Amino acid sequence: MNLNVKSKDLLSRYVIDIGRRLPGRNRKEISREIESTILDMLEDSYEGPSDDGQTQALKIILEDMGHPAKIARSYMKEKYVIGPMIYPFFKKIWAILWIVISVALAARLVFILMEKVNEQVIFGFLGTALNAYIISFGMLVMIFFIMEKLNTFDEIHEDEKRWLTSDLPVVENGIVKVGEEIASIVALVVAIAVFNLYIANFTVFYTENGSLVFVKPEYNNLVKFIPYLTIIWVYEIIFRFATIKFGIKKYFTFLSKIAIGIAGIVVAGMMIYTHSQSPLIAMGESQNLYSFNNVINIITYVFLLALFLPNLFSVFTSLYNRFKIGNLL
Amino acid sequence: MKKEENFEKLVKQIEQEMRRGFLVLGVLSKLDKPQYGYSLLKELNDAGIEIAQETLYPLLRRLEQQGVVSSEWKVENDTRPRKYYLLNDKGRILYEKLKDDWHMQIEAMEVLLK
Repeated sequence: MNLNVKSKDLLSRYVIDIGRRLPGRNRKEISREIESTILDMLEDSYEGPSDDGQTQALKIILEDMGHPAKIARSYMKEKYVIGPMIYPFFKKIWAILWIVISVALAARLVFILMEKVNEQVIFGFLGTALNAYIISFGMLVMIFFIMEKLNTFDEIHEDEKRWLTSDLPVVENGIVKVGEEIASIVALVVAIAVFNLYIANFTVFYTENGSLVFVKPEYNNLVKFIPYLTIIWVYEIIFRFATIKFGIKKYFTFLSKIAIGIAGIVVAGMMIYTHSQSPLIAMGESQNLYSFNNVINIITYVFLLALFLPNLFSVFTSLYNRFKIGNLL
Repeated sequence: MKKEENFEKLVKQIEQEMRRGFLVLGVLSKLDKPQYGYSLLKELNDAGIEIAQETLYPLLRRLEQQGVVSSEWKVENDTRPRKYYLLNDKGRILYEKLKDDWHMQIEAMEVLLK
């Protein structure tokens, strides 16, 4: 049976919504079988063309089958700690907690790297990081387990009965926007060229008594980070080329985005810290130089934040999308 | 009102417990030839054994995990793959035993319920 675009979308949203409520090990197999069964049911109940009638018939089947949580629960029986109705909610909370802990740890790491680094400090940090993740995950599981057993989510179970296909979450279509990828590659190549070839000769000017005064800000403290930025950007170029060539891959795409984002956060964070410790000073004797230095420093902060925040946003959205769709855990 | 609700709940619960046992036997009886989930569901429903798909599929899965049913993804007659289930040797022995037991229980119950 050929499904029209709307039916395909509806079916995949339903199957994915069931899948994200199931434990990872059986998800693929169960989802595949559910999809196959729904298609059997559709073939049995609808023989018309692939038009809106088909989508309508599919909607009736899905709404008759019921809430995805109900289907997922039937596969899990009573052997779960956190039930399928609240499992996606649990994953969202864990994703947020994970991000908060990771950002706090990344900030801590930046400060550690700025100080004297030795084995003891690094192992101490790794221990703290491991503890932070394990304890927070354990606490969260315990809280949700208690809530599950106390039937705190009874009202959610009531919502289950009023479920409609329009309640299904939207799924990313996984289409690669080639234009955007190429634009990003060009921007990255330009950034690599500018930072590696021209930053040492970067000159700014201000006016003094009607004439232009050129100064060369002292960027030595920040220039040492350029090789790290270059490595990240080169990887990002490779990643974007791979995306154009091979499409969006479940794990490669997700892990690459996370790796690029976290590396960007760490390097930009270190640059911000370095800049705060040793602001730029354009040398000279002019009266205007003091305020000029302030302006240059603020612009540098803005620039560094422009490096830092998109990475933070990228990590956050990648995690949110992944946990929302639920293909990772 | 509350008492009536509780009684209905109890009846439902006991009915479910009774059905659970013979559902397994009903499913096993139809798996002497390869069947995919939906065809099995229809055969059982046509035979008057009402079983919802959210009951049947997890049951098939459980029987497979218990090693009495084998499964295989196959493409037959059309281009769409389906998961086919079939009794294996262990499953056939189990089915024969359960069938004998069922007949004995029926006879015993007939006497009791006269």
